[in-house]
Amino acid sequence: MSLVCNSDAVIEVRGLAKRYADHQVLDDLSLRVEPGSILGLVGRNGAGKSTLLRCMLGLLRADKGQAFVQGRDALRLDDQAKSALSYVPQQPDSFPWMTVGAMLDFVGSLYPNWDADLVKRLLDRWELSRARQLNKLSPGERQQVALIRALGSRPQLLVLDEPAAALDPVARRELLREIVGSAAEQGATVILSTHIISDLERIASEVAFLHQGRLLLQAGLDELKDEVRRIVLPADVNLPQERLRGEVMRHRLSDGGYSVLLRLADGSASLLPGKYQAQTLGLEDLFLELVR
Amino acid sequence: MIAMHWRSLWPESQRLLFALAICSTLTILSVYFGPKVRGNSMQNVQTLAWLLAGLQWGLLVSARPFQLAWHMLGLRMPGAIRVVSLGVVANLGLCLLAISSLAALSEYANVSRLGAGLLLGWSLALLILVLPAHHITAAIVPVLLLAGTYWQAWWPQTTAEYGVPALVILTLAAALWFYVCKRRWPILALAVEMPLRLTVQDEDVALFRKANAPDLSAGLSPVQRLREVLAPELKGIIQEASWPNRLLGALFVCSGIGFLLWLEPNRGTRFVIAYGIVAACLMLVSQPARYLLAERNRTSQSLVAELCLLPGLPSDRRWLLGLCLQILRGMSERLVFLGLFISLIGWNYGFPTAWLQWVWLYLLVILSLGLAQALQIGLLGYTLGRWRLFEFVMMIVAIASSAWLLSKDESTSLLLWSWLVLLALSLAFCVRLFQGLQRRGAPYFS
Repeated sequence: MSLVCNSDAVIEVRGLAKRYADHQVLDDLSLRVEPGSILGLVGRNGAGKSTLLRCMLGLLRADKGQAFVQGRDALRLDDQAKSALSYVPQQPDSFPWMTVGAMLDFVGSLYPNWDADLVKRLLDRWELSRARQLNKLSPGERQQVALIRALGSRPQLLVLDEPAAALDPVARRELLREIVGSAAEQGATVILSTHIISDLERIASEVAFLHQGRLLLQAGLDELKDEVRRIVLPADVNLPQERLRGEVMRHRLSDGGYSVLLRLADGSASLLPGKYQAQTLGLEDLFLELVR
Repeated sequence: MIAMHWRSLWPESQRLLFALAICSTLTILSVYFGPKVRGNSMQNVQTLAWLLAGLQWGLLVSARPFQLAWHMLGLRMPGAIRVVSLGVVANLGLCLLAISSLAALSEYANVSRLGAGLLLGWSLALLILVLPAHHITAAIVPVLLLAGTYWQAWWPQTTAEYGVPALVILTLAAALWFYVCKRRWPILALAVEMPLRLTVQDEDVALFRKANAPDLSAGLSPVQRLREVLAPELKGIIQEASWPNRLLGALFVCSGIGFLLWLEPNRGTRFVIAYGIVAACLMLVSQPARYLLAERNRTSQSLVAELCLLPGLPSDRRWLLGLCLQILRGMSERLVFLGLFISLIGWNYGFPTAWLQWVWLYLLVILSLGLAQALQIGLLGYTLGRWRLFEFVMMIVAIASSAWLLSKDESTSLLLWSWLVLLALSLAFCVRLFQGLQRRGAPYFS
């Protein structure tokens, strides 16, 4: 098994598979995340997003396949690689016996690029007292502390699992601002899983759709908007069995017709069946179409 | 919508001050030394100073709006183009301001020539920023050549001669920049970050970085840091409790035992006391396993994330060894204290020596089984079911052994030898589990 990977990608995942009992959570999943990108992982509950993130960072052993973080085997990251990455789990509940200040001081002392000014600024902005014990905080406040801790290390790779789930709208917006700032200032790569698609539309440069453990589609946000189209064909149209050029997915509609999702690299609609108009899709519509 | 803020174009105050300080120093030096150099060499010195000033300003300050441009334009954030354009204009405006100030300071300064020098330096900085990482020397070489050439004082003297190469380089940089933004080429993306890492972050660390976080872990070894990450459940009493708390704990235990002894002055229920001790000891077996199991079963698995991703903790095999040693330490402290109290009680009740020997053997078995259980349940993902059955059987066997030893004064060596064999087996089981986990490697929790 290879320990290093000669790749420019910050994260590279090859053929990952993971099964819990009789449930296949990840199924031969491959993914690349380029430096400096903000990748949004989208999928329904149980689609395998958190498992993918955990396997990606070497927190969970996959049954099959490999994951690389900055070219290194995710299961054998050294201190240098660890210093450059931050991960916020869905329910951050580490160090419940510590106070906010003690935890941040302890964790901060382990990171060479710890930004105490940023930490202080965020603590002030989110009105979090350093003296409060972590297990006394509300879920939203704990998530805020976890995010402060993650951003404080000035990571080159920031992995967030449903980061905005417990946040109020104000904190959510500030979080997004910090993520964008982090990506812009340090060239950090950000991977975040979320159900809030409007957030992704604001900040993501790339989106990956997961469904039933498989990666259905991964592309730049701009490319998706420019290239992906839907055509709805009535029941009397004879759609060929073989896939159309650029076809991503097709669904049978209740009236017997078809909804076909096409990705046209040049953006032209010339390949579409003549009289049927191609519809552009928002990210949410695209998601619904993909997981239907 | 999140809009870009004008403030985000400028680096933090320390870096800005650093860049300004270099510019000012170069300007003052050129103003001071320039007139001391005869003829054309004077202007060359000034031009060189401005070239270097433009270069460092481009690397330290202008990199930021360009970084932002690269990352933000693709995101379609409102106001991104406006703010980045303002940043470029502000950078150029500052250059003009600097040139006009210098012109006012020095009567010998040739403003257009200085402007060209500054532009040349700035263009070279942009070229450095845009070039792929492994080609960065290609951008540094012309800078060095230009610098060397200046000192020879035979550099072409007209403004046009400075301006033309500057414009060529600027055009090249702009073309490459356009390509970067358009294609989002990953190699170039790295190159955009690299000069910042080389020039700014290293300087940050060396020159400006305050003692940001209190260096709590400076004197700690990786194994000690690992201990800090673990919850109090896995820590020893000495590691966890302060002196007053330890004293209070000891007072509580002593008064509890004293109360028990006071309850039965006739020592009539020594068997019951012995059974209670056996059961109390067994409760300690599963403490580390229960803790690790709870952490493993948490949805967030935050402890696993901390143990795997925090820098400065022991790596891989030493991590496993460190965890095992910590479990052993936490358990053995409690068991030693318990053993001492049991010995005192046994001595008070007049229990036979064989019973006291057996208690210590029993505690050692519990210690090794506690570790084995933690490894098997916490790290290998086994369920508690079989262990509960085993603990029940152990309790029966232990109570029977205790009763046997208390009721008979003779023929106890066979029983003690049996427990010794059990201890050897449980130790061997621990070693086997440890070796199995070592072979499997991290992450140990999955």
